[in-house]
Parts: sequence; structure tokens; C-alpha cells
Amino acid sequence: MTGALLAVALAALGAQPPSTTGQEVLQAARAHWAAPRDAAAAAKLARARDGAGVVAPEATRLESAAALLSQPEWTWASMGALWAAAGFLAAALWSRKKQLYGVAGAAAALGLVAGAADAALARRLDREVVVAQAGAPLRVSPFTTAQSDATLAPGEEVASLERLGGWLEVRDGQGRTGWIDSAAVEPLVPPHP
Amino acid sequence: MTPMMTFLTTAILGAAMTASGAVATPQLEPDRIAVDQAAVLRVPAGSGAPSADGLELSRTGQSSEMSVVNGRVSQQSFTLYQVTAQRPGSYSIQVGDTALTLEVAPAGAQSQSQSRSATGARPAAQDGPLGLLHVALPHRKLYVGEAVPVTFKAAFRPGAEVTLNGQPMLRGQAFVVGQLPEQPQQGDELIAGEPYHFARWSTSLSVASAGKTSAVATLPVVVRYQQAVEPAQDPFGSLLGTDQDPFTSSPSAMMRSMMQRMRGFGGGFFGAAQERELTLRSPALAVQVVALPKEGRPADFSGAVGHFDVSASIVESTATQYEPLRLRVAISGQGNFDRVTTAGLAGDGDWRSYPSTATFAALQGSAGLVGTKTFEQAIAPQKSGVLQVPALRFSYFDPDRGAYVTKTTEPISLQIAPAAVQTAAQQPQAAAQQPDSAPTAGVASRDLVPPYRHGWFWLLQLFPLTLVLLALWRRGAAGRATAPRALRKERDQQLQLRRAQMKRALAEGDEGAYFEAARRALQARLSERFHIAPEQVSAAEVEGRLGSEGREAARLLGAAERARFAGRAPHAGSLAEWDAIIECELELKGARP
Repeated sequence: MTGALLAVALAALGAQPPSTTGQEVLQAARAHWAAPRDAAAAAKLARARDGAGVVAPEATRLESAAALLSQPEWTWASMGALWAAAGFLAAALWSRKKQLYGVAGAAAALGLVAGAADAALARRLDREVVVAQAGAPLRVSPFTTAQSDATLAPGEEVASLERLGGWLEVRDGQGRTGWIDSAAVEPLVPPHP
Repeated sequence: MTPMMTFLTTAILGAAMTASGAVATPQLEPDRIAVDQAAVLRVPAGSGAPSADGLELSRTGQSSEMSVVNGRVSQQSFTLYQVTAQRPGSYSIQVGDTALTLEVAPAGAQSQSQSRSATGARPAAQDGPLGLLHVALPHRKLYVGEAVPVTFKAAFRPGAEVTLNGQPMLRGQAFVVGQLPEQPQQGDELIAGEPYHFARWSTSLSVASAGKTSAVATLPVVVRYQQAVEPAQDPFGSLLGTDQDPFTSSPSAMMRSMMQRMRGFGGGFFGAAQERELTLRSPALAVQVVALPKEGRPADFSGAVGHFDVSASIVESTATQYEPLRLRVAISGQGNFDRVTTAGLAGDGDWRSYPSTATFAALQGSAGLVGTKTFEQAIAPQKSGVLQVPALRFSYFDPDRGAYVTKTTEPISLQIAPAAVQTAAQQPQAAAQQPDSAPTAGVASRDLVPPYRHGWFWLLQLFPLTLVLLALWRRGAAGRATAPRALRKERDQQLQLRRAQMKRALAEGDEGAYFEAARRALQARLSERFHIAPEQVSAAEVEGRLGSEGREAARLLGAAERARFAGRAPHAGSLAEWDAIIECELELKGARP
């Protein structure tokens, strides 16, 4: 939303978004998702998308709500609530005070809600890849000789569905699915060494 | 749009004919219409758009015409326009450098060609059938779904300019005719010593249902002929069914009749041109269609009928775990290739398979009946080491043997190399090569990695888990510690209750109630000592366990049992003595472990 508003503001001011590459969209997207409440990061991502001529991928309501916090923040929130629930449960067992069971249950419920948001966000971010190479062909099957019906623009954020060797099956914002060379894309969330 | 082809036969004795259809000039037909009528303007490709003042030109489509004049073949594409006028008059249509004139009469008048036809002008040169149509099959017994070559052959006598107004059609139930070639094969033949020109189409034919059936082929043509000076017999009478049917006779007989009539017209052949639309009909084609037998039909039979061979191969020379390979299954032979299909390799623990795609390469001139159909399927090995692509089956029906045939491919053994560590090794390397255009990108990347991807995160979870386990253990231990105490407390409460009952019965002089309460009190006390259930404590049990020490207790229990079961309770006057004994016993037995 912020990105779209910024793009409209830039257009109203007659400012031309800078030309960017897939790498710039990737870095801007990583910065945005690491700090989702940072307006500057959101604006930077919007500029990068405009420069690459791509649009933001659509998100479900749950994913949009989960984007209030970054994924590590959701993880810590969930872990903290579950730790509190464990503490209250231990206290209830130790002291035989029944009211502490209720407090432990409430803390556990909060932890599960935060965990669900964490999982929803992780599901999206873990699947998202950004096209880093120009003119990456979207092929009907995982072969270099397979027919190509479309070409993905650099900076396009697509969802990976399946990995097969050096190929990724992806779905773009228009709902088209196909296979792309995994060397042509970068994962939004970098792999942990 | 059905392509229209002009088919011009050569004149006998070398008479030169004007091949008007072969000249690539704009044509307007007719050149005289009424206000409520339309003319057709044919503009050759590349001549530019037509223009005319006072006329309305509507583009209606395109046509392609092929002309053969003395063996020379030419082809020309035309753009078709419908020409109409609002008022009568004489109009000029300009097409490139050519100017055409259209005369428009008031509404209700007849056009030029119509008026000429109405005068009863007849063609001069013909009084017999102008053309023949014949359908040839290799045999007249077919199986359902079997595809066989079929040939449509149209023959025209020399001297007539014939325009094919479409392609042959086979009219009959359940006949399926393959796609006809746009350009028929042409040539000259002698029939009964007379030359004639023919056009031949070859394609495939199959029948969809069993039983005896027949069909008739038709071919629409437009014949342009020279108008005779003297009216003659309508040469198209036989073709139109008003005379004898020209196709019920043998082709040679018809051609002889046709030639004789042709010779009878002499110089009238080169009179005014006239044309007429006709439909050639072939003799009825009768075939017997046999259903495929149900006995012995393989489960994988897909309807292929013919003679086939099948082979399989892997395109790639090297294979790596999880890397896709291309499995090619080639089915070659002769038959109905549209029904030739194979399920390919089914996925299992060794292989992951994907839907296959098929390509068909037909032998040129075989009408799609002979060739090779190749299925290419992506398969990915799920394990390393030696894996085998199993034999694949293909079943078809052999019409010569009248039986089903199943052929299998040879199994293919492959050495699969282990998969390289791809995601963990390659992607960080690729990331390291990326230009870091954003100053915060590195920090952002680190911050994006969720904590649960680190080992320490899971180690931390041991803390709350330990806490809960510790609390659970303590609660369990406390419970175990409090269990005997609770039991003792319960027994003391029972003893107090029984003593109260004894005192109440003593006060009321109720011997039965007193001894019953006394028995239960003593059983409760001794059961604690003996570590058995209270109801198991009896007089015999006490004597056996305590000997002389328990004599008084045994006597008391015996008296209580007699009072309970025999109703012989001690006299009430002695209850006070009994009470002293019982109290003493209760204290004694309770004091000793």
C-alpha cells in the first residue's frame, strides 16, 4: 500500500523512478521484509519495482496481517508467549494454584496466534524468489529445449512451487506457471549456511 | 473458406483456349446488376485497394486459385469484395491501372448472366457427362477405427474449363475422412483411347461404428463452356439427374459417351462462354465394418489399429539424482496414429515422472497413415546408483491377424550420480557475487533469516521444557509422599466413626448395633497392622497371625460374628465389660506396629 501511494506521489510530482535491476528489487525487498514498518524501506522497494516495471505480488489477508511484524519478530513473540505459558504452568504445578492454569492457557493461546502469523509469513517469504537475470524464459517443462511461452522480467517476484534439479517451477503474478532455470532467480530469504 | 481452384483442361487437337481464370487481373462478375443486387469483385493480391465513386465496396474474404494450362501451374490469391449501388447508372471501378465498368439497372431488373440464362442459351459443345468422380479403397472390409488410404479421383474431359468449387466430401454414416490436401495431384490419362485430365486427392478413411454401410462422394464444380450457335441437348442433363446417371455406368463407358457427344458439336465449341455450377457424385461405396473383439483386449489398449513397433531411449548421456531426463518412446508403423498413445513411465520410489508430450512425423505422401509418433516424458531419478527404466507396454490391434498384439520396450539401465549439494553451496556463492546496491542489504538479509533456522534457538527451548518437567516431577513426588498419610488419616476417621456408633449403641442398649460397630472398628485397626483390607480381618485370621496375643481380639470378633449371623448377641448387661475389653484392644492393637 505504501509503495503504491509513493508511486502515485512520484508520478504526481513528475519524478521518474530510477531504472533498476532485478538485484536492486531483491535487495529492496529484503530490506522491506526485514523492517516492514519502516516507511523508507517500503518507499525504496516501491521505487525499485517501478523502475523494473513490475508490480507487487498479491498477498492473502493473513499474509497482509502478518506483515505487521517481520518474521523474526513473530518468531520471538511466539517464543516469548510460549515461554511465559510454560512458566505459568510450572508455577501452577508447583504451587497447586489453579488460577495459574488459566494464565498459562492464555499465554499459550497468544503464542499459538503469533506462531500462526509466523508460519503464514514464512510460507510466503520462503517461496518467494526474485528474477535476477534479464529475459528469463518461462518454459513448459524443466528442459532448456522446452517451449517457452513467456519471459519473466528482471525484478519480478514470483512464487516457487517445486524444485527439480536446477529448475524451479514458479507462478507469476498473472497466474502463469512454468519452469525457470534456478540460476536466473534469487530467493528472497537467503539460505542459512 | 474453402479454397477455390481453377482446373483447366487442355483442348483436343491443340486448340488454344483462353484461360481467363489463370490471368491475374481484376475481375467483376457480373458486370451488370440491378440496384437490389450485388456483384463480386476479385482483386489479385498486390493490386492495391479498389476505389469507385457511388458504389459501396465491402470486403468479404480471400480466395486462392490454382491454374494449370498445358502443364504449367500457377497460383494466385484474390481479395473478394461485394459491390452494391444505391442508384442506377454506369460506374467505374479503379483497381491499380485497370478500370472496370459496372452497369446498374433500376431495382427489379435482371443481371446480365441471369438474363442470358433465361433466354435458354445452351452450351454448344457438350451433350454428355463432363466429369467423373470415383472413390478407391484398398479393401471393403474394415475394422472399427482402422485407418486405410482412400483416393478421390475426379476426371474431366478435355475442352471444358472446370473450376473446383471445393473439395470432395464423403456423405455416409460414421465415415471419418482425414484432411484432404489443398492441391490435388493432377495428370492426364487415356480412357478407351481418349485423353482426359484428372485430379486426385489421397487421404485416410476410418469408420466409427460396426455394420454394413455405404457412402457417396460429392465434388462441387463450376463448368465454363462455349455457347453453341444451335441450341442442343442440355449437356448437363445427366449430371443433374434428369437423364441417365453418369456414375452408374463404368468410367470408361461414360468417357466414351462423353467423347462421342463432344465430337458431335464441332465448331459450336467456341461460341459464347457460359458457366454452370454442378455437383459430381461417385458411385455408392459399400463397406463392411467389423467391431474389434472384446476377448483378449489388453488393459492398455487405446484403440490403435495397424502394425506398429515400439522402442524407448533416454536422450541424455549422463544422469544425476533429481536432474530430469528425457524418456523418448517411439511408436512407428502404419495405422491410425491419432489413437496411438502410451501412458509412459509411472512414478514410483525410484522415478518421478511428468506428463509426456507427443509429436508425429508422417511419411510424406502417406496421408498420415505411416510414420513415427514420439512421446517425450520428463523423468527424474530419486535415487543415486544403478536405476532401471522398466519395460513399457504398447498394445494395438493387428487387422491382418485379427488379434491384439502387445509389444514392450527394452528396460534401460542407468548409472545415476549422487546429487550435488545445491541449495546450500551454490546459492550463498551466487549471493556473494551479487552487487550490494543497498547499504542495508546485508543487515536486512541477516534479519530476514528466522531464528529457528539457528541451532541455538532450539537449545533455548530446553529451558521452559525443563521447567515444566521439573514441576511435573515435583508434583508427582509430593503426591507419592502424601499417599500413606492420607490413608492413615482416612482409617482414623473410620475408627472414630465406629467408636461413636459403639457409644451410641451402648447408651441405647442395642447389642447388635454395638457388636457390629465394634467388629468394624477392630477390623479397621487390625487391617492397618496386618496391611490387608478391613473385611479380610476375621477371628481365624487374628488367631493365626497373633496367636495367644490376639485371643481377646479373636473372641471379640467371634462374638460379633455370632451376633451378626446367628443373632446370638451377648446380653446387654455385659456390654459394659465388652466395651472395656474392646477399648483396651483397640488401644493395644493400634499402639503396636
